[in-house]
Amino acid sequence: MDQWTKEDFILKGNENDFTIDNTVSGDSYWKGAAKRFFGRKSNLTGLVLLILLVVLAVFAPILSPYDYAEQNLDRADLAPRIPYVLSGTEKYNGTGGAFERNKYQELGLDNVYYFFGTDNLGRDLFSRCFMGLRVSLMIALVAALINVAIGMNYGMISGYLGGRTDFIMQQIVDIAGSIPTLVVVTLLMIVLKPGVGSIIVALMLTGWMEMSIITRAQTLRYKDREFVLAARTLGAGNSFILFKELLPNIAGSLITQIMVTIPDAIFLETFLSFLGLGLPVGSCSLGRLISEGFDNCILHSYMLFPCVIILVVLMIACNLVADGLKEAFDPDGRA
Amino acid sequence: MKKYMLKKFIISIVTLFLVVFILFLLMELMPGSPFNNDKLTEDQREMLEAAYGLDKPVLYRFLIYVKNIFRGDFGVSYNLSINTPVSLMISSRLPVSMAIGLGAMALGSVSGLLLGFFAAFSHAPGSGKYGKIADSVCMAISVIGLSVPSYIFAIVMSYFCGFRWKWLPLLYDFRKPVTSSLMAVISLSIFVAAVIARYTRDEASAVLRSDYVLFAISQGLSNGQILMKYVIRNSLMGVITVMTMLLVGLLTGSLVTERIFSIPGIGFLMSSAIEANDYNVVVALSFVFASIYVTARLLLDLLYGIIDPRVRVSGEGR
Repeated sequence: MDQWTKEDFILKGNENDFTIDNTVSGDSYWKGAAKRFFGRKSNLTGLVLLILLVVLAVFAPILSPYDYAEQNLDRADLAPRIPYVLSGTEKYNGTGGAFERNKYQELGLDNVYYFFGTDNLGRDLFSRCFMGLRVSLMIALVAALINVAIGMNYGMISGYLGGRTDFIMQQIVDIAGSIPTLVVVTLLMIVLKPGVGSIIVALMLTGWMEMSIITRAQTLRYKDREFVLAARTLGAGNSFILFKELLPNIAGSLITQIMVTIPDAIFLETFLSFLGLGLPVGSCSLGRLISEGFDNCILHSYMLFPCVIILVVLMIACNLVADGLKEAFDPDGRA
Repeated sequence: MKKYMLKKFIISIVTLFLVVFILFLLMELMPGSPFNNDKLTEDQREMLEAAYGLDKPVLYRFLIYVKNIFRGDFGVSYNLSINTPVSLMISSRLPVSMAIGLGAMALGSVSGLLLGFFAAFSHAPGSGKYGKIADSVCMAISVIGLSVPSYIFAIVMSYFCGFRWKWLPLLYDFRKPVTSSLMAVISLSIFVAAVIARYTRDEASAVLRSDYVLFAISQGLSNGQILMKYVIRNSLMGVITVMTMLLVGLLTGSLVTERIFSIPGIGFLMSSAIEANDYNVVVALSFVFASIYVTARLLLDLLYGIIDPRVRVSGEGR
């Protein structure tokens, strides 16, 4: 048969007449989600705070003149001093009554400014706080990505294959999910050596289940739709259907779930470090800083509050963004 | 219904066995043997191992271990209080933790429900500008309560209310258990309150927007009557689903919070046992935590199955 060419067709009518009717047409999946997400003030606040913290975590330790791990015992226990804001004077409530003391003046440190003060080994708390934030964020991000990767594959396979495989896989999730996270993590941290790797393993073992449950539900929802049937009729294989047809539809909940997992991971890290199971002494993370700050807070409260405030702001920002994403991708709560 | 109940029950039993198995495995994996003494001859070592049953096959030892655990025999403490039976240590501390946990649950539920209903009513259609502000304030409180870990509240409260302003005792005091554990109860209850407030608000505002409430309003019922007649009954259902989440929050929170206020409960025991490497205590407490959690989950699943028939139908269909 002869091949049709472009010349065989004649354009009917004037093409400039066409306009797309935007009043009725809906937004695409991503555009609609973005519109809903940016349309709410609380989401924007969370996002701005989160970006600010990430930027600080990346750049503050680099820009700070003091190293986060360098010890200088001559400059231990200095109170915060910021030009024009804080003078570095500290109030003591000793047995002999309250008195004020400015260690900067005593030591003759004139043009020295430690924004958050120094700890009892003379390390700069400003660099330490943001270095700790960086470490905690990295642990959380890696853990979240691994969790999502495992949970996503598990859930998609379970939901897509169905039948006996699905039944067995779901029983495993049911049983694994009823062991409290706390017990698994604590025991694991006792057996493994403390460190970043073991925390990530602990987070990985406990975090994938929720992701797999969500992915499975979504896969079940979409796998009998017409577009999947169409793809299968056209001869698409299982992996094509899973990753090219189903995955784009689940992507929204995946992103939401990453954002939900991150604050959980940060919480577990600080919690374990506070119990002495997290990172080893001497390393620097938000959990360790809070734990060290709490040990010193009766005498030097400035050692505790900056890292606590950073953690609080971080957790609130993460949760705001996660809530916003949940609503943006799933406006009527179907998933 | 029977099938649903049976399934949930079997899952709980299997889970507990799995926990025991993991604990046993960890015991086996721990390096070292109790008889690492060079002075012992081969014969003597064999005799000792036979005396303690260590020459038996692994499966046999596992069964002994299971039997002992279900009898409540977790061995003795190595470091914390030497040679005290672990079961005794736990049973003497459990009531304190239970009291604090229940207190936090009660305080959190009441304040959460109040906050949630208040937010739902201010959020309801036709409530005006102030209602919107009130709703936002309630939700801001619940976001803070949900995001900030309970031990941060504990630290901050212990610094300000305990140390700075001296309102409440800084550490636990046997002579005044109520006032000295008040800060722990409050800091643990904030998470409970936040979760319940959020769920109550969502459920209650859905109820408030429903046709039957609209009808009730048009009949001239007051807000209080609507709350009592429709909202509470219909929105409590959803709150039950989050109960396990709350329990996890309380168990986890108790570990650090009890340590901060030196409350002699199982959380404090656990954290000091972890620090002292007192392995028997850690294992026993892990089992206790796991059984509390599994039992609570089972009860809630059953309760939910009774309340909402759809759950058990979909549970059977799977």
